[in-house]
Amino acid sequence: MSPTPDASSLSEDYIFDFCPHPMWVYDLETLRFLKVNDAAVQQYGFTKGRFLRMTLKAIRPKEDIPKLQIAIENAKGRKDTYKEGFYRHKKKDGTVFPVFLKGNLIQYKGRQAELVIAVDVSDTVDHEKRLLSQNRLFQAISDMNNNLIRNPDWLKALDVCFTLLLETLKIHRVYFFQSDSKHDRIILMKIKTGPGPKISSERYGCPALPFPVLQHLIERLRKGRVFSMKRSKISDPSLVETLETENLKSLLALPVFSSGTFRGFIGLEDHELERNWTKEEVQLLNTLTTNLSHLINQSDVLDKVKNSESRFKSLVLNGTDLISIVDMDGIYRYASPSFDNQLGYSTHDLIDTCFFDRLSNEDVPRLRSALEMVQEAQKVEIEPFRFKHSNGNWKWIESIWSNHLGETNIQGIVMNSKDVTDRVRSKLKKELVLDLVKAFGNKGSLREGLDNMLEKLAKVCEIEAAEVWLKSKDGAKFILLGQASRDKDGELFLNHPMPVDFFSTGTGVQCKIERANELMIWDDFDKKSEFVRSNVAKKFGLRTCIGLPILSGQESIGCLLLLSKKPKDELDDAIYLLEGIGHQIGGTIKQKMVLREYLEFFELSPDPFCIIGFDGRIKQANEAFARVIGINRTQIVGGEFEAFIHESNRDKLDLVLPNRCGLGRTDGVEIRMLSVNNMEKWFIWSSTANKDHELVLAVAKDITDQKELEQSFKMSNARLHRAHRIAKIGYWYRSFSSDLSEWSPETYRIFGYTPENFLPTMENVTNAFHPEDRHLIEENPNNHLEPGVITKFEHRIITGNGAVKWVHQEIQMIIDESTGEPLHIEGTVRDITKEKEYELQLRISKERFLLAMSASKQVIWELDHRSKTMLYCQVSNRIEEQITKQAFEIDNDWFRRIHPKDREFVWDTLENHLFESEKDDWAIEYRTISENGSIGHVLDSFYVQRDCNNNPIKTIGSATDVTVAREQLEKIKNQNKMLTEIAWLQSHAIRSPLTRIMSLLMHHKAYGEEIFSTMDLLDIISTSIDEIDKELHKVIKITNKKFHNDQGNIINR
Amino acid sequence: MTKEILLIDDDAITNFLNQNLIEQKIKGIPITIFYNGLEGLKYIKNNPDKHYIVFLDINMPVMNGWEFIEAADSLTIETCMEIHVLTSSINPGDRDRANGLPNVASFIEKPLDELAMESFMVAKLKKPL
Repeated sequence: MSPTPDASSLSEDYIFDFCPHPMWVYDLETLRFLKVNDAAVQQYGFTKGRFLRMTLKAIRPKEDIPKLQIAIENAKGRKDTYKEGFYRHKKKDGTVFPVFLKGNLIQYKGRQAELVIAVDVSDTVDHEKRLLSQNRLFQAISDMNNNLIRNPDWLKALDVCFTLLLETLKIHRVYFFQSDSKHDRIILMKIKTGPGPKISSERYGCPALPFPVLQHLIERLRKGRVFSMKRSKISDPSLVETLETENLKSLLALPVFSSGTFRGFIGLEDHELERNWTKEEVQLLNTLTTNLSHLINQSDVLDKVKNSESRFKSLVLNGTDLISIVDMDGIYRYASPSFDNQLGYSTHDLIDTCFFDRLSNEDVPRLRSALEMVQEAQKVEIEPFRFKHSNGNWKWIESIWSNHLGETNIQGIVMNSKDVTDRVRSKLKKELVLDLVKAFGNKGSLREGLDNMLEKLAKVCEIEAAEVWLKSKDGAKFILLGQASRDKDGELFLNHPMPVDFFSTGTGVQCKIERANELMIWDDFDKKSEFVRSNVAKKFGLRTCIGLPILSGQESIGCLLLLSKKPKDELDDAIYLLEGIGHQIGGTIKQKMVLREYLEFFELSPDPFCIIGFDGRIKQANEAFARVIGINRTQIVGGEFEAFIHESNRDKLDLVLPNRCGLGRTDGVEIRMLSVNNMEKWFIWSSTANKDHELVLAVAKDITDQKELEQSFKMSNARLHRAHRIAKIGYWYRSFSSDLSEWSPETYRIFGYTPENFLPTMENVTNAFHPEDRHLIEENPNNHLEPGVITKFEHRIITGNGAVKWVHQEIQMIIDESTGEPLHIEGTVRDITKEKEYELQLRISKERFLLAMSASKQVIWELDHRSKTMLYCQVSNRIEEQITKQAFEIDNDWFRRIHPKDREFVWDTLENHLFESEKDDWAIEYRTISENGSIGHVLDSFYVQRDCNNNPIKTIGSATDVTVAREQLEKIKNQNKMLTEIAWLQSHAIRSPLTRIMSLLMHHKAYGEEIFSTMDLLDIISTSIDEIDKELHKVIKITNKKFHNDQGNIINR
Repeated sequence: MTKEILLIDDDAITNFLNQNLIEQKIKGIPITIFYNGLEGLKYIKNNPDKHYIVFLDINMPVMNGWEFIEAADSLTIETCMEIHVLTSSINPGDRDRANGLPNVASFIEKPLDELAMESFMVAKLKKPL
């Protein structure tokens, strides 16, 4: 810091130089700077030297130069030496700034010059400018405030404010978006656009804020922060583009809050500048926003109040609540206007009248006591009571009374009442419907139920006579099914005989009702002669007829007829109650009708029906079920269904109860059931499950007989097969249209095949025939068979394992009568191999027999004791059998051939043996005498077949001619005799002497000559030998004799 | 009872020889000879109280052996008789017939030799004499 110079000692130049303000002297003519001080140098940036070379023009901005000229000119002709004024100067660096020039005309160095001080008043100017703008702003604020305060409609006020803003802030667009929190929307409420460059006309009304911007904007705003955006700061190219299009340079948005909620924002756009908002501007805006929010708040509150007020007003004025004030005696002191539209009384009508006068008589005592009570209790709730409407109808009123006798303003009982007529009536109506339904349901039968129901109806609706007419099943007639009356006249009317036999659905009151399908009233019914009973009605004073259809769903099932003495006008209540009853009760009635029908069917059915719960217990069963099971119905219901099923079939229970097997319905389940005496019955059950009621409805058919038949059939069939098997008969069938035959199991067996390994096609069957017999099957059956006649065949077959069998077939062919073509062929086949063998053997046997018979000359005879006949056969010529049949008598041919001497004997023996003896077989010999008188011998052996009582049934005998044998026998006998003789002779006669010799020799050996001498001995021996010899001769003689005899016999023979 | 042996045979020599043999074998019992059944029977009838051992031949005149047995059997009086048929017959039929008859104790084939006597004795010894 240079020491401060002492100014007093300085030259004027020094003062000139040190003057803090830029100072210069310039030539008036040339405008050249003549002298410049340091401050000027500092200020303008030109060096002194430069300055002295410049003219004033240099420090003036170009555009001001003409002004300068003028000023100079003025200066030249100026009278005053002093002049001041504001000008603009330009610094060396080009900065233009305002100056306050003070100048004095002087003479400098012989020239006309001016001494000028240039005070840089840029600050001042700025300051002033700012002050100005501030002032403007404040003014604006004040204006705005005024506006906003004064103007009740803040939108309008906003309008003005916006205009102000546009002007004041020099912005191009301002708008207010209101936030509708209910709908979560931002709505543009106000927009003002000022004149400005390039506002796209399309978007004239609406600022196009790109959505991301808007979002970001809103977010900030909601938080209560101010949002400011300058285009230069945006980097997103798309955004930039949008901003370009909009020509948006800067944007400012301020939130508006009222009582803590975000209500919206005010947005300002500048399309020229990117502004930094000044404090004052911000303040202005804040004021706006604050005031706005306040206003909004206020207006909201006001709105609420208005609403509430209007609500209240409408409530009070137009509402249905009846507010009245009565004194202790029940006299009206005040009545709200609603009485007028509710009950038809203006306030005037009610004041000073007694409350109780307008009540129905029944309710008065109750309400009087209530009035007493409220004086103690402060508040009483009154149940609905009847209040007379001005038009005479009764209305139901519900009321709350409060005691305000103490309050000076009121001094009475305040009644807050409400017309609850509809409520009460609808309740009554509902109750009525319920009652009716209950009354109907209480009684068992349809008719009783209807009567009961009608009684109730008549009572409640206060009508004299009521009838129910239901449509017949065919829909042609109406049938009277229910009646009720409330007084004598009604009763008389009902009991009056019907003028017609029936009411068809084509005519009459009933028909009209049905056609209209809604409630109909005939006032002056008694005068309407078109209705047959109008006269009767008239007689008993019934003048109004109300009729309504009874509907079940959409179907009309009949109608309800009510007759009353009252005129139509007085029947409002009744009509109200009756409206629509037809729908309500129709369903129940129909249900009962149907139920009745179904119950009848349920009971009528001869087949068992039952209803089983899901738990397996029987809920209901019909008579047939009880009958079938054989126990009382009461014992069945509640019991387990399973108990009636035979144990072997208990597993089938699940099938009968479809709920158990998951099906909706099951059909055709066969179950064996047990009846009470343990008899088995078969039933076929069908059932369906009703899931809603958890019931199974089951019906059954008794198939016991069928089952038995089935079983017996099965058994028969089995027996047949077995019989076939035992009898070894197979059966086969072939329809001519088919190549395939049907074979029974035995047929397969006979042929030695099984169904698995053999197919009875024509070819296969033919091959099964023996080759030599195939012709039987290969040719046209017609050749062999006569239709309808059973023809027999015997032929050979080759079995499955190659054996040859004989079979016997009996075949029948059935033809079509009309065409003569064969339809089918069937037959039985029997294995007769064994029989064939037997046959063969029998034949052989017979041949043998015949041969034998003829060879042996035997006669077989047979006695049938039952028929007392005799049969005998003789074989002649080896092959012919001659059989004779005769009565069993002693003089038949058979016996006649017996020798007369033996005949008696034979007969007796036979008889004896047959009837006396116990032996079965016997033989007798007798002689026969032939025609030529020759005698034969017969050996007759026979066998008696007896029954259990030992009586002979049959005797079979064989008579053999034993003549030869007999003769032979004789011969043999003789020979035997001879032999015996010989033997005897040998034994005795010959041996005797021999033994003598033996003894003698023995003796001799033992004793020598003691007793017998040798000579004696030899003598005796000789004698003995002679004896022997003699005997031997005898023997020879005998044999010879015999031989000769035999020879002779042989020759004779 | 006293025993007595009767020899009933029509052949004298046989009787003689038999008597000899028997006397040697069975001592102490008297032997009487008859030449036909009738005689023997008569004798037995007259002397019923003896135990008779009869050797009987079959082939005899007047009354042969069979007849004798039959007659003896049908005697009304009680006799004690054991008959031994002694015959030359070798006919088995005779043997069987004899054995089938009551009173016939044995059947002996002629000749009555030592051996026959031995076996007779054995048989007899079996029975109490």
